[in-house]
Amino acid sequence: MKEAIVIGATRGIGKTIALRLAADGFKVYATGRNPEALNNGVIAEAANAGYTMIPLIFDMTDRDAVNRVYAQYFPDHAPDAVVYNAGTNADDLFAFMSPEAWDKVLHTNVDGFYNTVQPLIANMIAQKNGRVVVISSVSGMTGQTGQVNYSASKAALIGAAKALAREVARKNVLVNVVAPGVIDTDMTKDLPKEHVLPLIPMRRYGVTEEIAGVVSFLCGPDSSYMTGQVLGVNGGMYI
Amino acid sequence: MERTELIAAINKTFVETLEVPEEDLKPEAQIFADLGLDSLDMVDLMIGLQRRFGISLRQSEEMRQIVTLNDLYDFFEKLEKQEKAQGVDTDSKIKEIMNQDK
Repeated sequence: MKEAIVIGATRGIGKTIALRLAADGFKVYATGRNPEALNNGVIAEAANAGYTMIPLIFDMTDRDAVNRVYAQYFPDHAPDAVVYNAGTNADDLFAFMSPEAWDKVLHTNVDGFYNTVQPLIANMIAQKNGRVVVISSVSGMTGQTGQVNYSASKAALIGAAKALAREVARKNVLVNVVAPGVIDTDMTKDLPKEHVLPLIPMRRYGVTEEIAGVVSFLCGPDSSYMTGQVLGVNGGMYI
Repeated sequence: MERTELIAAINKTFVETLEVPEEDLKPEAQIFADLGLDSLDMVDLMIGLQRRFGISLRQSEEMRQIVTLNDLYDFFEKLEKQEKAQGVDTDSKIKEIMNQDK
């Protein structure tokens, strides 16, 4: 059975990705910080559907904590697919942005990528097979007012993914990015819809399943000649 | 363990993991220049050796200094002695590797 790990699977896009990959037949490792939220949510839903899903509990900003869990589950192999979805935001105009808001977003979103993906790469190379899917954002492609920190972090992930794609392509490890637009999740529920919708040619928010479908494609056999690409899933928000 | 046994086990990893022809595996051969490997292949090799010998190599700076096959054999001989001093049964591991084909 193929294995996938979804970093940040407690809710929103990550949760739907975890369930979709499980439905695709992967044994899924779903990670999160809060065991109760993870177990009562995505893990319970997966169990009800008869899927194989294992909860991994760690704070991805804690490198040692990640490595302790990986040592237990991935001592001598890597999952076939790694989906880096976790992230946070702390929006503010740059002029008012606190150093804490800057540090929190950059540290979580960018360092988290290193902490959770880097320890698995050597084994993916050795396995000569693997998919890495990084969830970035339309904000990382276009920049977004009030999101200088978030846009910087998501653009950093695109750069990291492209560089990694070049590094490991020869070993059949494919690295791609999905850049969602405005998706209907907790993260976007407080956005002023009347101001946001006019920016989206399709005039609606996306749903998490529309991201999970693209991730499923990137983890599956039909994307076997794609690497280093950024797939925008944004209703035309960035063309 | 005899050095010859160690060399045989390492060479087996080269042949199996990186498909390097056995006849090219001369001690003086430079891993990058003569065997045509690159740094990505070294990652592959390190993981292969790590799995076979059951030791952690990834963070070893000393490994980055290796140029020839002989350097690699020396490195592993030293490492094997260190592991053995810590109670790791490297002899059995090497024998297990070499018996896999038999």
